[in-house]
Amino acid sequence: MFCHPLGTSFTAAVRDRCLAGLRAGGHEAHVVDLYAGDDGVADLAWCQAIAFVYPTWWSGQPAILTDWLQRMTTDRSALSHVRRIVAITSHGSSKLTNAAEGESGKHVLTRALRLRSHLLVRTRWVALYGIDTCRADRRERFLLRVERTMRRRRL
Amino acid sequence: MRALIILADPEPASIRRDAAARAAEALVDAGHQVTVRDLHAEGFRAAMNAVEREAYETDQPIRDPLVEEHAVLLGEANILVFVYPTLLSTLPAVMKGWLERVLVPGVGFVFDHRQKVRPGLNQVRRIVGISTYSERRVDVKVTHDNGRRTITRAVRMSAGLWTSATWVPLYSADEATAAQRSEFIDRCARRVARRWPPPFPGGGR
Repeated sequence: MFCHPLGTSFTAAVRDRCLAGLRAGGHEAHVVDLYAGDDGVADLAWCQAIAFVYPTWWSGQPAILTDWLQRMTTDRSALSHVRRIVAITSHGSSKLTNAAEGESGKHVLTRALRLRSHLLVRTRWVALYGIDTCRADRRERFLLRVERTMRRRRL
Repeated sequence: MRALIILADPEPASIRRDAAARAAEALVDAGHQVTVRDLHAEGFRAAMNAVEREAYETDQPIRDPLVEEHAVLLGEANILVFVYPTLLSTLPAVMKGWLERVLVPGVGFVFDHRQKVRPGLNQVRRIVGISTYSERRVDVKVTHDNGRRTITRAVRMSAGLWTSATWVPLYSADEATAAQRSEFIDRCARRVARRWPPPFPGGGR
């Protein structure tokens, strides 16, 4: 699930590395681009794992992704086959600030969404904090980490 | 003081609307000026688009006259009231979109010379969240009550040091009895218009 209005964004680069990692690991992947108008309903039924790639805004998912999640979960069993949830996101402010704000977006995916997924679902949180102030090499290291994480046979 | 009530509710008649109306009445009775904005009725667009995301980095991040209107109202507000149903333990998309599109750099916060975020809502004295849940209280706590945290922590941190954040919930709203519903509406009115914290010295700002 890719969610960013700009194709030139860091989040778009993260999506490309995420896909590269998945292909290297022998996984099949569909990309749902919410800003391009994809609805993702068929892809949701097709998949066993979902990776959410988005920027954290106001401590949560962007509104377009929030809307998608809320529409999909009106049917409580729509995600009941999902065994892996991976959240890949970047935060403007530091880990400390986000901890003080309660990390809402993280808990939407790892708690609220997990309760609507398969009983044995596993969640993974891959996050870059402080992107407003960080150096370019931290971004590059984060991209490597995304690729390494998605290459795993068991996501 | 000036109060701004932001209502996000897809249903034309609901307990949230009754609560918002009672809260507005209570604020008027307490001597405040009240503005109510209904995001669904106005057709407020939830998603920040590519033009706005590009403009976000510039000096003029607001490109929509409706958003500009909201930003002006927000800049004058001393009391902020959010009224919405909690969905998937967080804000409805349109309310989240309101935060993203209205609370842009220069309105909700400012960047200092070190690119660090500093509060922008310094005139806000009180933040109140009013929400209904379809889950029981224990289930809301298990999922971390993310909408509440967004309002009472993330938005609260963009306001001044002495801004209070109040939360008025109604759990298991679908099964609530008439008595529980009217108690909730009274609680909204009582808590939204309480005297503390006092207005700034000299009144107004």
